[in-house]
Amino acid sequence: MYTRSGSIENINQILATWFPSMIDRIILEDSRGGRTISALRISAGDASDRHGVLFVGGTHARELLNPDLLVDMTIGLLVSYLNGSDYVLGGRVWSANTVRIVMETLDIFILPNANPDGREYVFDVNRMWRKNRAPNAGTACVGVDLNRNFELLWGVETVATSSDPCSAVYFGPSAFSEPETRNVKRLLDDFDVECMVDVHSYSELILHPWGHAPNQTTDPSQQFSSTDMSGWDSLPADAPGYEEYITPLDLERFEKVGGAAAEAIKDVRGRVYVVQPGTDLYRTTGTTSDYAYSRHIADPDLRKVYAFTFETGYWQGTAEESFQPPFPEADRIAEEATSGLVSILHSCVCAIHLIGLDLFGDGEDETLMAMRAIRDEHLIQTGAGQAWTEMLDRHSAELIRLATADEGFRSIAGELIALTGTVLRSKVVDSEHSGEVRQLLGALETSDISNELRADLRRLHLLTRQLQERSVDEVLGVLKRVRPHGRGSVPGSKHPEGESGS
Amino acid sequence: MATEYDQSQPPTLFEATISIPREARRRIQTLHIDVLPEPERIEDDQILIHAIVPLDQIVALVDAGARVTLRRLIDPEMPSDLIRPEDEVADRLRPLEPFREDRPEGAE
Repeated sequence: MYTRSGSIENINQILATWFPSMIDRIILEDSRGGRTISALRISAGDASDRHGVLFVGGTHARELLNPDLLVDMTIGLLVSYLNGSDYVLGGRVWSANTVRIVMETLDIFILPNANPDGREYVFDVNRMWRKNRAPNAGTACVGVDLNRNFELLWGVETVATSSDPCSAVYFGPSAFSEPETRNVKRLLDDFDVECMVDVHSYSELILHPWGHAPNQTTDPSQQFSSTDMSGWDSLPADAPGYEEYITPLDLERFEKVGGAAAEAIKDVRGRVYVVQPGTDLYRTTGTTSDYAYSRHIADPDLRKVYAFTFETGYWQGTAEESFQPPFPEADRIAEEATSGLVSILHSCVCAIHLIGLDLFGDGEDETLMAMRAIRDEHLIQTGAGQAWTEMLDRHSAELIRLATADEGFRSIAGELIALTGTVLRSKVVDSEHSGEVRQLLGALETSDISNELRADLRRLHLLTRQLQERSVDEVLGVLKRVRPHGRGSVPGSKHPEGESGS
Repeated sequence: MATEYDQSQPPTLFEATISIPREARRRIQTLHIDVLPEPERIEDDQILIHAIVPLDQIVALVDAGARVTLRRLIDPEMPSDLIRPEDEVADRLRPLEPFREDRPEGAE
């Protein structure tokens, strides 16, 4: 059965009271109708400086299942963690160890019911209501479509985005005009969110950017931040032939992480969710997930958020039952979607942080802090530098799997991180340390790993040889100039490419 | 001119398939159709959309060049057996009871 807004808020309040060491209740702005809205921040263990993963439900009022599944997922993760038991979702078993890892390395933010006024209106008046319940000046028509009220391309009309307050897809009087959308923005502004899922219904889809135009990976100049869109008051499908740039590595990561979630969903009972860009469903503007991903492009100081939209469930023969599946089928759909969300959590664990936890314990360690500073303060400054970070990101899921399942791999990777710390402290990559790093990389290369990871370890191996006897500052300079997949040797290297030292 | 609804009563809604000539798309965008989350289909230069359509928009859709096939009337009322009674919150949280941090030591 579907839970009323007041009860969902009660559950948030109770959970924060029962588990004060693990759960913070973040009180957000009240809804337009004056209802309390809160999100939970769940973080077990003592590790600090965590990545955040944000799940949002109930943006569209009539999609009743998603707030309930987020509440049940919260309870399920807590029970599994506190019991040390597996989290069983149909045919998919998330091991107790995996649950422990996500709970102890991530900040999990759950905003289960983003639009409580709309949800109540669905229960009491009109079960097909989609928007919030904002009064609109100059008209008796009520409500703003919250998933059209975000800043990216706000106000650009499509077949699924409207300037008409009486439309179900009305984008509102201005971007972030609604407290319900400002609440999501606040969570993105205030916390270190790296992954996000806005959970909607229906269609069995895992959508990733972009939603307003087809993706292309070859022309960085054709990007919303560098294109004059001031003349865009509408975005018809047959014009203007515009395709939005996304980096090849980001697209690959969206497809990989989304693909892993689809597999986790399929494992529950065999149903297949399709991973695709949002625009393949229909063109939209001002959406939650595209806004979240676009933030780092509009403002390079902001963290990149890998943001997805899930469309849970399938066509049940009527609109009512598709948006509000009958029980017990609704429970099965919730299990599938939950498995997909746990997969997103798993994919967003930082592999280095995870290995570092094993190495240094829960306390903050200067090696991890120094490595994060290299990523967040140095590599982020250039495209080449970002490409090195992205190279690690693309292997993240495999590294996490290896770090949790292969003790040998985890041990060697731990030694490598510790040695990196030594090198950073000594400020010079001397030949002795360089040799040890290459030895460890060589050992990792012989593990049971994918060819793609092996090839990139090989690149690191070669680079380490080329960069020995240089200061750490010089090495950082090279990483900021030379992409990992660029051809040729490092300038000034005594060991040009092809001269293997292993 | 926007149609204004009496918000205390749900409008009469239909589930419908709307067939739109490509050139009429912009006109259709100004109407109050609530597109369902399914990909558009294109058949014989017509765009096919599955949508929820208020009764008072049907004539406007036809005037704008669309062919509207009404599938069924939507029941706006939520069946009470789909709504969870508010006193079931405690049942839902019962699996977590034994782990409560706020429980006084020694409490059962």
